[in-house]
Amino acid sequence: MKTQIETLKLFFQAFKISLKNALMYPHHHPGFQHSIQNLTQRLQEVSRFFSPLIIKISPTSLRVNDFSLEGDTLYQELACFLHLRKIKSLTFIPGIEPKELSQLITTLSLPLRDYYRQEGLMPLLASGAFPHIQIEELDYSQLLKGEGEEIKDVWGYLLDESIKKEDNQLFREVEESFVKFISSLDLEKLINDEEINLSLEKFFARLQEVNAPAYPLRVKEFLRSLLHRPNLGADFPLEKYKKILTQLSEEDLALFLSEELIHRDDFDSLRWQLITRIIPEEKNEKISALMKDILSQQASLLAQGKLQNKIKKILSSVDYPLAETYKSVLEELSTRPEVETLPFDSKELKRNFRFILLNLFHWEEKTAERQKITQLLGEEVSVALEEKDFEFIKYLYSSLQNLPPHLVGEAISQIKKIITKQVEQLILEGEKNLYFQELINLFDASYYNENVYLEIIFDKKIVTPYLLQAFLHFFSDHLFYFLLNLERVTHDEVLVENIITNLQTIDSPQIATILKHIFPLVSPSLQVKIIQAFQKLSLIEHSFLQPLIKHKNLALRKEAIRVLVQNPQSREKILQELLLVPSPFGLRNRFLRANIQIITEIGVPEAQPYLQELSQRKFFWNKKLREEAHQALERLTHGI
Amino acid sequence: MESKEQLLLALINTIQTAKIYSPSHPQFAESINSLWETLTRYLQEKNEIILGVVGQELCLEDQIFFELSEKAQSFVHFLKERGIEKIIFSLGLQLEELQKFIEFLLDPQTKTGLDIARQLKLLGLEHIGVGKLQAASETALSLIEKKAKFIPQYFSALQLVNSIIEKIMIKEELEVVDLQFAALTLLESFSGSYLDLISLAKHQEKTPARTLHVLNVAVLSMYVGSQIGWPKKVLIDLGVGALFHDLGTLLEKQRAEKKPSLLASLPAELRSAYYGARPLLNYVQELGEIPLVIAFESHLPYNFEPLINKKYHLRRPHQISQVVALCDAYDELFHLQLTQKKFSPDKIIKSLRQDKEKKYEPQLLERFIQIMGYWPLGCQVKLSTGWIAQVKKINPSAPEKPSVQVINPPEKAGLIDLAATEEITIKQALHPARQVSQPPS
Repeated sequence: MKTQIETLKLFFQAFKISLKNALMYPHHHPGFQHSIQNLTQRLQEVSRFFSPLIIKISPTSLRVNDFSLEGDTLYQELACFLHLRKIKSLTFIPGIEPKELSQLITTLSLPLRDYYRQEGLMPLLASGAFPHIQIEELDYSQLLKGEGEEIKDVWGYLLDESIKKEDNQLFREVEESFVKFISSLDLEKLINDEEINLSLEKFFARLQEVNAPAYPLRVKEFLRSLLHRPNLGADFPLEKYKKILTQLSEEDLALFLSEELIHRDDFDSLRWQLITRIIPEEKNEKISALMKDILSQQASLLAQGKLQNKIKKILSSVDYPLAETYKSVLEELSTRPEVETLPFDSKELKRNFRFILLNLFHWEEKTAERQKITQLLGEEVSVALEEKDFEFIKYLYSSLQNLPPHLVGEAISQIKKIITKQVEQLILEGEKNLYFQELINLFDASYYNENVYLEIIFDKKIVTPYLLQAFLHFFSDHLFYFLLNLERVTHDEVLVENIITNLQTIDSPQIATILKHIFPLVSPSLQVKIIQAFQKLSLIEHSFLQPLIKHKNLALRKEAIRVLVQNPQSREKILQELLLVPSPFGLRNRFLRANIQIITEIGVPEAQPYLQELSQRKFFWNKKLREEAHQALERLTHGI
Repeated sequence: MESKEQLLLALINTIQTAKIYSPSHPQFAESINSLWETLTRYLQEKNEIILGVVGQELCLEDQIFFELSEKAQSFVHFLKERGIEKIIFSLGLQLEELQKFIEFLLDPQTKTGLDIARQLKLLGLEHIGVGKLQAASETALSLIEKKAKFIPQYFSALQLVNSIIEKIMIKEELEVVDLQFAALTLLESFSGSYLDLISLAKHQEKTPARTLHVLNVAVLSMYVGSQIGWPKKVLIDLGVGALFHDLGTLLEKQRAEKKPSLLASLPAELRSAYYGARPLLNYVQELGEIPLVIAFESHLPYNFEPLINKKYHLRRPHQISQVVALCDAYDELFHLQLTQKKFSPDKIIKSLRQDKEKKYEPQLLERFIQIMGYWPLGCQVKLSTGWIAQVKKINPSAPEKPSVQVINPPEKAGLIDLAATEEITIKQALHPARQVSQPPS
C-alpha cells in the first residue's frame, strides 16, 4: 500500500514526463497521449488521498495540504516551472478528463514568451476549457524578484502588460528590474533578438512618458551594461541605439563619459570610444566642451596623471578614430602637466591673517585705523577661541594688556572680557593647553567666584594644573578654603595624589604651604609624593624637610635628602649630619649604613670625603660599615 | 613655404583685387589662382586653416597679427560687415569653390550671420566654412577662440586695475564683483602660455608698466594655483589679491616724506608689508582675507627668522603669498631677460633656485618650476641640431626638457619629446621679438 507521499511523488513524476513529452511530441502523438493517460491514472490515485488536489506553488517548493514538497529536484524544478508561469495554486477537482489534462500540459509546455503572449491559462479557463481545473494566478511583481535567467523572458511580457493596461505601478517595477534584465542578456541576444530590441524601444518610450526624470539614469545604466561586456567589439551595431541616446541631453552624455573616465579603474578605452560613436554627431561639440569643463575640475586626478593616462590610451588607439571634437579636448587635457597637488591650508591662512592684524595693531598710530583693526580683532577673537588658537589669544591679550591707558577703550575692554571669560570657562571644564599658563598670569580677575573652583576640584574632582594655578592666581586670599576642602578629602588618596601631581607643575609660593599643610594628614606613600613634589619647587623648605632626613621611613628620608642636597649651601651640613656621625661600638652603624645607601642611590659625589672616612673606621664592629662605604665610594667614583 | 602672414596677405590682396576687377577679368583669375595654390600648399600639411577676426585684430590659427591688422582695417571691416568672424578652409578645397566664395563675399545681396553659412552650403562649398566666434564658455574653444576670449578680458582688466588702486587710496568703494568676475574670466581663458601675456603687453605702451606687471602676476598666479590644484574660489581670491601685491611698495614711496616713528624702526620688508595691508583693512568684508594676507606677505621671505623680534609676531608666509612672490619674481626676471643681448629664460629658474629656502619655500618652488618649465610655453628655441622649434609642453619630471614642435626646417616638422632623447638638446632661446615666422607644420 503506497503512502500519500509516494503517491504524490508518482503523480508529479508523471506530470513532469507529460511536460517533457509535450515538448518533444505533437499532442496527438502516441508518446504524448500515453503520458497523459499515465498522468490521469496517477491523478486518480492521488485523489483518493486529496480531493480536490490543491497544489500550492512557491518559487522552489510545492505544498499539498500538510505536505511540504521540497529538497527533491523533481519538486524544485516543477515549482520553478509553474511559478514562472504565474501560477500560485493549481487545483484538480474530481472528474477531470484526459483532454483537459492534455490541454493543460500542452499550454504549460509552450515557450515562456509564447505562453505570456497568449496570456497563459486564463483565456482557456475563461472559455471553459478546464471545468475541473482551477488556477490562482500569481502577482506578477513576484516574478521580477527572481535572480535567475527567467527574468529576461518575463520582463518583456510584463512591460507589454504595463503599457497595455496603463498600469504605472507595474511599469515602476519593470523599470526597477531593468538593470537585472539587461544584465541577464548575453550580447548576441541583445544584438540579434528583434523582440528584445523592440521591448527596449518601448521601455524607453514609455519611461519618457511616465517618468522622464529617470530616463537619463536608465539610459546610462544601459550604456554601462554595454561598456562592461568583455566581448563588445567593432561589429557592435551602433546605429540601433542612437535613437535612445537622442533623447539624452548633452549634459547627461558629457557627465556619463566623464564619469567613466574619472571613476572606473577598469576603464577600457575602446569601449569608451565606441560609445562616443553612438552619440548623435550634432551633439558632439557641446558634449566635448562640457566634458572638458567637468574633467578640468578634477584637478587632483589631473595633477596625479591618472586622467591623462586614460586619455592617452584613448588617443593612442588606432582601431577607432575618435571624433575630432573629442580628440582636441582630450589632447588638451592629456597635456596638462602632472604636478603633485598641494592642498590649500585655509586654517593656516586664517591664522596668518590674525597675526597680521595683531602686527598692524602694534604698528598703527592713527586712531581711526586702530579702531578698524580693533573691530576686526574683535571678530577674530571668537573664531580663534573656537579654533583653540590660544597662541594668538595669548599674544593678543598681552598686547591689549600693555596698552597705554588712554588707548584702552570700550572695544578693547570688551575683547579682554570675552577672552577672560571663555578661557576661564575652558579651564573650569578641565581643558588643557600650554598657553593657559601664561594667560592665567595675564588675567587680572576671575569671571567667577572661588566656590565654583572649589566645587569643581573637590566635588567634581576635575583637577588640572591650570585649574589649580587659576585658583591660586585669582583667589590667593582664599587659600584657607582650599586647605579646608583638602583636609576634607584626605581619605580620597586618588584625588589627593592627583592634586599633588598637578601642584608640582605650578610655580607658586602657595604650593609649599598647601603641601606642608596636608603632609601630616596623608598616608606615608602620599607623604613621599609630597616630598617629591618639593623637588620641583624653586624654594627649598629647609625647616620642613630637615627633620625628615632622620625619619624612620627610609623612602621619606631619601626624598627629603634628595631635595636638600640640591642646594650647595646646605649640602655639606646635610652630609655631615648623615655621615659624620660618631658610632661608638657601632651603635649608630645601622643609621649610617642606611644613609650610605641613600647617598649612593641619589648619587652625591660630594659625599666622597665622608665615605672615605667611614671606609677607614677601625674595629671589627665597623667591618660592614667599612665595606659598604668602600663600595659606595667605588660607585660614586666610577659613576656606577 | 610662405608664412601665415603671407597667406593672410594673399587673401587680403585677392579681396582687394576682386573689388576692383570683375570675376571674368584675367587679373581676378590670376589672384584667385595664386591664393588657391597657397592655400592648397598649406592644406597639404594641415587639414584645415582657421582665420579669425577678434575685435580689430586678424588671427590665423594661434597667431595674432597686430601690425598687419592695423594696415588691413578695411579687410577687417569688410568681414565684420558680413557678420563673419571666422573662415575655415578645409583640405580638398577646389579652385571653383574659392572663386565662388570670393564672388559670394562681394555680392551686395549677401546676408549676414547664419544665412551665410547656409548659403555657402547651398552653393556647394563643402571645403569653406564661415561663422561667428563663440564668446560663451560652453563649447570647446579652439586655441584661437580661447585667445579671442582672453584678449578683450585682459584689456578690460587692465583698465580695472588702474582704477582700483586709485579707489583704494581714497577709500572709495571697490567694484569687488567686477574684480572677481574679471579674475574668473581671465582664469578660464588663459592658455597657460606666459608669452601670450608678454605679447599682449607689448601693444600697451600707454599703460604703465607697473599695471601690466601687476595684472600679469595675477594671471600667472591664478594659473599656477590652478595647476597646483587649489579650488576655484581660492584661485579667484588669489587673482584679486595678486593685484595688490605691490601696493605696499607703491604707498610707501608716496608717503616717504614722513614716517611714523614706530615704523621707522621696522625692517624695510615689514614697513612695506604694513603699507600694503593697511588700506585693505577697509575691504576685508568684501574681498575676504586672502588679498590682505597677500599684500602683507608677498614680499616677506620664506626664511623670516632674521626678521623675528619680540615686539611683533611674524608667521611664515602662506603658500598663497609665496605663489604670488614667485610669479612676481618670474615676471620681473623675465622682463630683465628681454633686455639682455642673449635671451635666456632658463636663467630665471636658476636665479629663483638660488633663493630656495631663503626667499621661497622649497617644495613650492619645485612645483612652480614643474609648471613653468625652464623654457616657457610658446617660446621658440634653437636645438643642438640647428633646428628651430617651439615649446609645446612642459615635462614636470624634467622641466628643463620640454616637448617641442620643430618649425624649421619644415621637412623636420614634428613633435620631439626632449626628455625622451639624449641626442637633442636646447641650445638657446630666441628672443620673442625676433621669433621665426612659422610655416605650416
